[in-house]
Amino acid sequence: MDATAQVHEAADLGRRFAAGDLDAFEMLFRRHQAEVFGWIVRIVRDQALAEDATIETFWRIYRARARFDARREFGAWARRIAANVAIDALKARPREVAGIEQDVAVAPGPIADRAMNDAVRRAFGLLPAKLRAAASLALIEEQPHAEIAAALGISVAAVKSRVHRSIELLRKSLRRLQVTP
Amino acid sequence: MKPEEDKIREMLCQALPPTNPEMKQDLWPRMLRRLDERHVRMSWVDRILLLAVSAGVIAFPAVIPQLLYQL
Repeated sequence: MDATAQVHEAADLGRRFAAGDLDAFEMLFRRHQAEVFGWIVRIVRDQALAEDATIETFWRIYRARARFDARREFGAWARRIAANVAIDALKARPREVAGIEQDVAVAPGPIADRAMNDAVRRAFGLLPAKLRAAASLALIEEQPHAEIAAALGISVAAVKSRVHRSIELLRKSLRRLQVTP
Repeated sequence: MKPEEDKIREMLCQALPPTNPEMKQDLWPRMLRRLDERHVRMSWVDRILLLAVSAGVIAFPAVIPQLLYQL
């Protein structure tokens, strides 16, 4: 299928979805679920929570179907909703445990290293949800700032500002935990 | 600032390694169940409203014809 045909096919699918066609929704779901999940898991850093948030994202997408403009790219719209759902999921978790209860194998190594890693995870878990999302995507997952900005619905400058504030807060928290960067 | 930023980034990556973004299962069956639930799910606002209308009808049966007229 050439590029023009792909654009027409995507627009047609989008129109059918907006009109409430469940088959079109299923096609869009199957086409975009992996990308949405991947985006969410990078923010919430928990597989089970990311699965729940993926379902919640598509549920919100389905409810908002009448507002979907078929000329727009579905994937970008879905990523934006996914980022909001992921941040809501982070807000719903107690701050001090978020970022700690993730599937990280305890690496063998000196006790001092493990204690430092625990302190870093604790400090990361204390960040406000929006800052944690930006820090996770930019600093850990190394996603491009422009993509993060598009998904979070903010400017690239705002992404940089959030990352900078995250680093500042992390530095302060680590000092309180007596860990010096 | 930059060396410190790099150091914090390094510490973060060591403590919180990048996640595996691969999905372990197809989520469509779960999505279908969620779509089916919507027919029976009622928000707390709906429940309170239903209770208030029911209580009103029981307490003041005379309003039933007026309600039916409004519908």
